[in-house]
Amino acid sequence: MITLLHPADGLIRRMVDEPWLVPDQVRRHVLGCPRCSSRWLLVTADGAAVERLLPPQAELELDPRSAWAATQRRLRTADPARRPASWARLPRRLVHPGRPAAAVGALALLLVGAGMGTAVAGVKWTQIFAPTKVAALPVTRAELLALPHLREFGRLTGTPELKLTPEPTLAAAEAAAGVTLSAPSPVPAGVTGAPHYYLVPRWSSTFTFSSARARAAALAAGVTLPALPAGFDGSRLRESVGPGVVITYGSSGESLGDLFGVRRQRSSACASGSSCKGGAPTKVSGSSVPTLALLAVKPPVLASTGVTVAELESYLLSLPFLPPSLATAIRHLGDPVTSLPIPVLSDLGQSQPTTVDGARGVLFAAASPLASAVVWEAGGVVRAVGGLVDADTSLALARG
Amino acid sequence: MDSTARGLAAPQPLRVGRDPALSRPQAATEEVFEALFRAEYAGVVRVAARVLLERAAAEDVAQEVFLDFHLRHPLGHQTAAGWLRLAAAHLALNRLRSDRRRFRREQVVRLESTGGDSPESAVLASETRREVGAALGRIKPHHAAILVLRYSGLSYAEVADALSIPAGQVGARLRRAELALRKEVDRDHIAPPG
Repeated sequence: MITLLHPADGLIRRMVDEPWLVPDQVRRHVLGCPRCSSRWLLVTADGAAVERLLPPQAELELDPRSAWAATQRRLRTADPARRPASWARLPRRLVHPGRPAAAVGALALLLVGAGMGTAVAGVKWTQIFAPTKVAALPVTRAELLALPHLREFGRLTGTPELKLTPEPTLAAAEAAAGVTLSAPSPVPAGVTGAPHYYLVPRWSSTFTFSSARARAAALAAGVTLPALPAGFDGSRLRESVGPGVVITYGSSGESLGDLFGVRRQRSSACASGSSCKGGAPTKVSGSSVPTLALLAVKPPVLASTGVTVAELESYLLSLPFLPPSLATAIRHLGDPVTSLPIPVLSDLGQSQPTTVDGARGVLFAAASPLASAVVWEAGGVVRAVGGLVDADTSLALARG
Repeated sequence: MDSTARGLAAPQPLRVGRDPALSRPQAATEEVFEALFRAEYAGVVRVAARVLLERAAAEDVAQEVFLDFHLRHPLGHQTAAGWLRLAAAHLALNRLRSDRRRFRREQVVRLESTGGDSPESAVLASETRREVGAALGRIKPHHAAILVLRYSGLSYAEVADALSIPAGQVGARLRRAELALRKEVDRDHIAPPG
């Protein structure tokens, strides 16, 4: 029997970002070892905190022709004997002269890249996913951990982190979102505190497939990934969701911000009437969870420059690290164009289909801690209600 | 897609000369340099923009880096992409540390990422990003560099390539850098953007 030592922090850090590049036995150890799973949670939280400080950037609209022309001009006017201004401040390793030249070798590869760019020029976006119903996708935390990050298959740009905006009243949130949401009346027993209202702004991001990036990640890990199907390389997907409205009970805006990424109030916001104290930035408070939350949001829509949902699903199912049980669950989702998968953590509770005013929904219920939620889509709006309440209470709230 | 995106859709992790069959020393032509430029320019700008938050300043850094590369490595470089990205990170951080740039950044309202936000939230984001950028400029350069590279979207393999370290060391260094940035941010009570 092989005894695995507790992995170092660095390996656990990589497990957060690139879990499929971490050996299986290490992942199993981390998930099964109380000490290491605690460290993994801590490292995950620290990484998430830094990602909030350094959020993914929007795609920059650049003009490569002008940039190339400008660089050529600077090149022509540069003194060949000059020492670049940045030279002295660059690491010594960067200026080591002993490395072999290989620029020509790259040319073929680079031209492939340039050709790829040309191939997608003038492309039209086609909507490929517009859900009209929800469907449960049972998944365990371990299965989620085994999934690779999308960044390993291409480039993700846009605004990947959803940000909620506090609103003073429900009416204000509804007006901003163009979506209606009914507050519960009366509030169920056990739900305390004043309601908080939030606008879910319209959110979108763009993903560009890159076979080179997928290949590099696989090579670095020593694993073999199926090649991206023809037409994937360089094609783009654009996802958008929202706007919408959220109501929460039992938590302040600050702690909700930790949970859902709400931008915390800062001094410059105080001038607009927000409740700030002395202009000082607020500190993160505890991790109080809303005892009840209600959501109404325009459903996600996916547009593509060429790849279809069926092709995406087929490629996803061909990935060797996709757990068989998850693959089976994906196959049972139904029509991939109109079914919105709702991931439900099957190791925390159970889910079952339900109906809300004739619309198909998903009911999730956990016994310990007591929690439940209902998600359904009706009238072009995805709705959800849930919290630290039993399933009957969530269903009653959903059905009005 | 408009013509401006042509040539910028090239994949990020191209590694010049990794294939032994392609590593024969040969004089780099203008065509080779242009191909390298077109393939890597967007990625290099992205690294600089991670620090400077201003597209024009990031493009200036990127062009300066390509210029340096051409002057220093007219015959090419074994890991050109990594060289360019790391150079962009260091040069951008150097500019960030200068008061002139720092003050100029205070006037920058936003990049395209805040295009859909309200004016108030855009100002909040801008303010926080400026403060986070200042914190980046205060931590150790090697910590700042790995954060800039990783949070520009580079994979661990690409970060390792840029830093010329084994990929297995990236996680540990990234972890130390993240803790350093958080410590600096906590010291200044900077609230992260949403």
